[in-house]
Amino acid sequence: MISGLGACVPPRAVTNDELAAYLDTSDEWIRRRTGIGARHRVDPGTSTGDLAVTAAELALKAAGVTDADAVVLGTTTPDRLCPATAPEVATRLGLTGVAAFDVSAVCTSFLYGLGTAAGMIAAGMAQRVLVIGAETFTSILDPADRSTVPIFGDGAGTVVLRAGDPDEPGAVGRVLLGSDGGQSDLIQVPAGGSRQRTSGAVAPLSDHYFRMNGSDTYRHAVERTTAVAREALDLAGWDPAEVDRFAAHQANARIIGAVADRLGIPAGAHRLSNIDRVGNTAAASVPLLLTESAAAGLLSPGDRTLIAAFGGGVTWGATTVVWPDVPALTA
Amino acid sequence: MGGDHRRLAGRAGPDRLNRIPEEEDVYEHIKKILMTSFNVAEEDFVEGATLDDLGLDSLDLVELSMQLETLGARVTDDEMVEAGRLDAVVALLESRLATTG
Repeated sequence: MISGLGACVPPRAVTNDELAAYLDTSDEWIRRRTGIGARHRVDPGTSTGDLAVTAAELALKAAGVTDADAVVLGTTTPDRLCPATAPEVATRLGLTGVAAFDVSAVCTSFLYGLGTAAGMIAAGMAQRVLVIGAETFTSILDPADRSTVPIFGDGAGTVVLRAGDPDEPGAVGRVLLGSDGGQSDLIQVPAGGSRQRTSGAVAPLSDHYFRMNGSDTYRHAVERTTAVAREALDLAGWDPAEVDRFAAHQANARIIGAVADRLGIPAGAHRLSNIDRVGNTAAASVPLLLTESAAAGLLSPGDRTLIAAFGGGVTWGATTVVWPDVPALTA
Repeated sequence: MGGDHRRLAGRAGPDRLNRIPEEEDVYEHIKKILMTSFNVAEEDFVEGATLDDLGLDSLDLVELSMQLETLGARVTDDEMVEAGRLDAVVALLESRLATTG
């Protein structure tokens, strides 16, 4: 059961025109190519854990509770390579002692975390879990790469998941997850892991930055997201025409449009979107979208909601939920 | 665009017959896709038009490649970039349809 949501983006918005001042790009090109008008960037020294704490505090407040049995943090940009970021986040939330760990599935991390949390509840390991997606994605971008800098932004979102009746609004359907490691090169940071470290070679600086094969990512994202979303709809017994709201990972407006067109979900209010204001916030994208949409009244109690994501790995996932009457708080 | 474009209906599998009208050739089918899914204007389809002239960027070419797969022949976005012109893409697709029977 979803019982509360919280989300935040850092205060500083970076417009397309600001990027065009130092990159070979333009507002027109970025909008046409991605649907993005601005993205938020953390101030120096702000970490993924900092954003996660803010989003989690808001979600706890929204749910009207102060504690949880576990903290599951999905991220591509942990505060450190080791240890995981979740334990420190848990302690800062006053939850020292609870189970806390990171989940790494790039832009699908939140759905992987949600599925893990739902499983923990189903197994009796927890009654209430904080599921966080948080990123300081701008920290791994090559500042000179005009193909990635315009797309990605920073942010965090949290869902409080609690035990409940599967027939109640807010009950998360089975979370369908998948992967294809044959495509692991599509979306990657080549250096910094054991593959590079044990090679004995010093990696060039460029290998420490995020890189993405945009064209191949488009193809795989559209195919996989469409397929897993159809499967989730079948499980829920929903016809695409019965979907009130489609909450897709905000990867790129054109990928979202291609998936929604294939699924037969009408354009307009049915397709939740905040990519024009926040860009692609990777693991934070889905919970940030859900929280902002619910807070703005664009996602209402009773809405049949389809959630789907695709990310590096490559990984994908989808689930369904009848939207509950619960608070959503943004900062 | 003139020329003797192959008709698709004879080669298309039974599952595709309802998608491609018998009287439609490859060029007309691509043109229809470009006008409906990619908002290309009718007047842009001039002799020798390049994909760039039609306003198609690299993501459009991936999307077009995916949609053309419904014809039963695969032309990748990279091959389309290399072909450059729409008539060359049509020729490539026709040759693939001919060989995949």
